[in-house]
Amino acid sequence: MEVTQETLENSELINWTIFQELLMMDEDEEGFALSLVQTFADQAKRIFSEMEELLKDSNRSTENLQKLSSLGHYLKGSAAALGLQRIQYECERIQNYGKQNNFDNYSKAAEAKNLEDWQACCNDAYQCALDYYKQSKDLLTEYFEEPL
Amino acid sequence: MAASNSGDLQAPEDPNNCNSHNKGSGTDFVKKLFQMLEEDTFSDIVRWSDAGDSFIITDTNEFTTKVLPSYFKHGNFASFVRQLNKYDFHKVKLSHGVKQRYKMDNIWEFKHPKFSRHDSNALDGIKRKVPTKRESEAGVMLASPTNFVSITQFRNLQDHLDFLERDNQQVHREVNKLQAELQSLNGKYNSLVSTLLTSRTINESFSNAISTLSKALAQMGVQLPRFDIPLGANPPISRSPASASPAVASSTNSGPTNNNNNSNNTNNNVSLSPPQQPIKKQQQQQQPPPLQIAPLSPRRKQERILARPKGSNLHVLLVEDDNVCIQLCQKFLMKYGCTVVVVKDGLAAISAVEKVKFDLVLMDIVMPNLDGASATSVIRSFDSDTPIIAMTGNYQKEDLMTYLAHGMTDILAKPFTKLDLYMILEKHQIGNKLKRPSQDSASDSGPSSNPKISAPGSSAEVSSGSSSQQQLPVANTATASQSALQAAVQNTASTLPISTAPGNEVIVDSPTAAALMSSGLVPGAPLAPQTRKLLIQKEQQQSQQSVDSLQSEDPSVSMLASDLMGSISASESSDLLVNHMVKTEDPYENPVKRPRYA
Repeated sequence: MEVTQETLENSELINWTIFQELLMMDEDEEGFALSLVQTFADQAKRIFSEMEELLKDSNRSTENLQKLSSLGHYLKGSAAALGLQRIQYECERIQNYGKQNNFDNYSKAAEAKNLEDWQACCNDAYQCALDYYKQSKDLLTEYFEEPL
Repeated sequence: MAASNSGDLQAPEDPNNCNSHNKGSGTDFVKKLFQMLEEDTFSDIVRWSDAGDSFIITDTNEFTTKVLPSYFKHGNFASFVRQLNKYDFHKVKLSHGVKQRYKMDNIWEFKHPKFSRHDSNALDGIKRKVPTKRESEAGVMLASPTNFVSITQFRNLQDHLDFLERDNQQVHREVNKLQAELQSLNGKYNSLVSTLLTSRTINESFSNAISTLSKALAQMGVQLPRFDIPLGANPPISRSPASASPAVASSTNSGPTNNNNNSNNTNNNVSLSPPQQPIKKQQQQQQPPPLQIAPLSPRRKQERILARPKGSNLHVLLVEDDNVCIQLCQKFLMKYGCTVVVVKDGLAAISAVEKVKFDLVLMDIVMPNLDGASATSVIRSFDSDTPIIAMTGNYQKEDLMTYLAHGMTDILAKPFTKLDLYMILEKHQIGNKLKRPSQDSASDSGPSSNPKISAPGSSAEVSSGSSSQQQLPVANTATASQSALQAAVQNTASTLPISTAPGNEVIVDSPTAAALMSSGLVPGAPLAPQTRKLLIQKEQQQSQQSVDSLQSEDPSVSMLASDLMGSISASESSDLLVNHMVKTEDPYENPVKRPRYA
């Protein structure tokens, strides 16, 4: 299936208004949008692997959760800048669950009693984020016809 | 012997002879002397001593008249003795017995450690003595290789001395510099410590206030989300249940929900006010923390100005640790013709601002090493006028208070568009230095000269006497529609209890308004996406004039009912605007809105 602007516009993954503005930046610097997306992809890969490390760590600690929260915050900002709204939202969840804050009435978080439970919440959000990242990446790879 | 008296050298018959002796090999004179003794032609007048380590002139008169002319081409015994003296020959005191032996009184014996019979190899070791007076003998010495060496040595020594002097000076300078650096570091450290203590006190008062508040709310039967506050630590972000759903969901709720929110909000404010009073007092106490670092000296100020890139209209420091945001924001700024310096943490930001005078600092909050708020309060200890704009996705009211308490000028909600950025620049009177990026954004300059709710930071600017300046761009860019709009807004504004800003300086800045609104209404999720739709519509509706423009002028309208925008009519939108302003006015009436650094 060919990915056109319309595909992006209709995709739930992308906030088209924001993304459109990036594409418009290409007018005076060709390839700017692509380079931005590539920067994001590099950054996301790094953050996801750091998150994975923390989630795998069998030693449950508040520091670990706090680190997850920071990473979530960081990637949230990058994703938001590109309008990758799904990733952004999942990162916000990681950020909040990492602070043991059930900001979106997540049923699992509501029942969370210990660090283990909160880490599981983070893991859920992480899996979603990763999934959305892959989808977004595929979509944008198709669109730019460049590997990300 | 007075032979070393250089004055004698100037005796008329003397210098030429000396020169001739000394030309060629330095030991010319000595060689001749040696030759004379070895040939032993005048053995009755001059000859080696018996031991062979000295020579004896037995008759000075005969020597002067016979020997000197044939070997040394002159007849001056005194000159001959001076030469000997210069080559460090010493007159040997003769014992009475020797004098007896030659039965003469005018016997002279001379001796040099290296001058002995048949030993011609040692002659090279016989050098002229180092002159004591350089000046007077310079003429002679130029030609004298022996002395030439000494001059070189002298120069070497002088060079060495110069080098040492320079080195010493450099070391001195470095020590001074290090001292100054240490002092400034000390200042920073002190200021950081006081900032830390301040924020700890603020945090403590926050958690107290929150627990008071939650008790009060619990008594009123309001169900609270679970949160635990470690006393004295950072209070976790607490949100009301109504705001828990993300903005995407809540923005689809139309009127009734908004009203709900609004009433919630006013409720909150009512119950908030008692606990907030002490906070305010506390912050005011902390407000004038004794400045640890004196304001920069005039010289430093000059240096900071000189350090700016030449020809830059607007020199911006971007403090951000996220590469994506850096790339994007830098691009925005460069499109506006700004020169941009990027640093990645708070510490780097402090030293950057110390070195260069920037027109604007855009500061992320969450960063490694030192967060944006603390960095700002350090910067404020030596620079009180550079606008520092916080870029953040955190909209919570407490955060806003903290940022402003740390001396930040304003807040730019992340993620932001090119236009959001432009509006915040306009708002702080630096927009007029910008290159208008394109035709459409030029016509978008409307938002700058139009209804602004005086956001927390801007009152500082107003009070600092720049109000006339502020009005300038308004006058320049005002079009018929804009002035109609202004009039409309002034009407609106005058009905509102905004006391600090005169009519046309009442400005709605959407990101800030959004931030403040969201702190009361829809916290957490970014609202900017919704504003964007509207901005695009705004561009489409540019042709429409006067009242119609009201609709597009305030992007934050869309936060309330973005889904209505498609079908919205002009009158509805102006209603909405008023609505919105009434709502957003609340946060500004809160005691927290005044910047504390002014």
